[in-house]
Amino acid sequence: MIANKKMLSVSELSKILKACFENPAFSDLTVYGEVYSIRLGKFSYIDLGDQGHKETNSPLLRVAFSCFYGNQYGLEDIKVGDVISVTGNLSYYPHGSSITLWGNKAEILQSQLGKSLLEKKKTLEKLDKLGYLDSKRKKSIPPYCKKIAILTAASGAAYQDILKTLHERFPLDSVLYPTVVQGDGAKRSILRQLRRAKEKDFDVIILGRGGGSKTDLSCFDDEDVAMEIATSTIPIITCIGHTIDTAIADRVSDASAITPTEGASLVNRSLKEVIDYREDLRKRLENLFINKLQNEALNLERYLNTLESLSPQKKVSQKAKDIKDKKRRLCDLYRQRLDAYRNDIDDYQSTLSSQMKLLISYSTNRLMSYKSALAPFDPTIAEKHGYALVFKDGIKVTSASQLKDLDTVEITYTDGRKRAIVSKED
Amino acid sequence: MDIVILTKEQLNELSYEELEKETEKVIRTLSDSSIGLDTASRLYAYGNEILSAMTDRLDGLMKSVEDKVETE
Repeated sequence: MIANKKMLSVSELSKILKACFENPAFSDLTVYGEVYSIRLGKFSYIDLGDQGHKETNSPLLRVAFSCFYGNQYGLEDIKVGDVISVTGNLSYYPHGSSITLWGNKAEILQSQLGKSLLEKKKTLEKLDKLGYLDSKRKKSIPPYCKKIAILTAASGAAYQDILKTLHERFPLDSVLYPTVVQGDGAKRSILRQLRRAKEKDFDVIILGRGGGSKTDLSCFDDEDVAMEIATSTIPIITCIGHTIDTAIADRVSDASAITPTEGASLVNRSLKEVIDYREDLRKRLENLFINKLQNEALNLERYLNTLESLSPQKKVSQKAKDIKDKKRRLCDLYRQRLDAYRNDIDDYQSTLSSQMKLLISYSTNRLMSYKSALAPFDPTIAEKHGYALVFKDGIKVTSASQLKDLDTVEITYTDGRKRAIVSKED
Repeated sequence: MDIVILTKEQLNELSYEELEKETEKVIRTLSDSSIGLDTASRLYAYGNEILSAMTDRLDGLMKSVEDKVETE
């Protein structure tokens, strides 16, 4: 059988296929379809499929543009879900066995953005009517969660970020429900894993995603996902990101965060906070007890003082002290009085002494004046001048006529007496 | 004193959060100036016992943390 047919090598077949696609029939083709995914770069790639069949097994066409970030063709305006038309040439790529439409023109036929915004608005209105947007409905996150569910991609950085943050907080067990959080199948995966997690006794469910495409958030604006979150009896934390356009999931969840790290930090207190609070409790307990002891010690001292002041011994001692005090006061008074008398005597003595001195001085003066007055009558003065008293027969001779020759007279001097015989006058 | 002193076994059955609340209750009661010294002594010893239980609990929990993956 094989021998009858022409056998081709892979290279030969590839060459034939490549030649087929170089046929002008495959040049300058225009194809339209829904953008299932878009990746901009040095070469930009778009996966086109039939509109509204993203979830089914729709045939895909890989479209490529050779331009830097697609700015030459306005590719940066194209979003997932847009319906676009692309004009270009088909090409076969032997190494990947793939067919690519190399585009040279792209045009948006129907913007997904406008469509999405309209759908989002309708969903929000519906949820609002049901009361699911009311912030009062939001359940509080338990302060000490024991077990939580994490819904995110198993291989994504988001899961590692969540785990890292959780390990720095009050210990808890976590269960990962691997979930597709963007692109194809995200909605189905989120719904399925949410339902599974809600059946368990988790304290909290975290639904999060890492960086990813900004444009591919449609699953978090989906009504079914929103209803599943809103009706959960278990508190749900969403960490979807992109705060400019809040996803509906964020609006209906019990708490939302921008990043997975921030979302995880809403669960439980940090270990430091827990340990600090425990230390605070210990200090408060100790201080209260020490205060109590100090108060009791003060009370005891007060009682002892009161008791001591009321004892008979204290009273006797107090009386004795009073008597002693009085005695001392009496002594002091007596001493003061004595001092006063002594001072009076001293004053009298001083006065008397000065009076006496005055009297003596006065008497001395008077004596001196008498003496001065008597001085002329002092016999010794005459003697000093060589005068002497002459007595005859004991009678003072005051005149020469009282004497005769040869009369014996007695001459009296201050230092003695002498006898003399009166002789005839020459 | 409207506080019931739990045994060590009873304390072991409480969660960390409940132990924390029990300590707060002890502190509130101890703050009441009308309680006597004997009661205060008992409460102080009880408070320290709860704090020790909290430390043990925290250490135990940190060792037993489990990160599981629920496969489909």
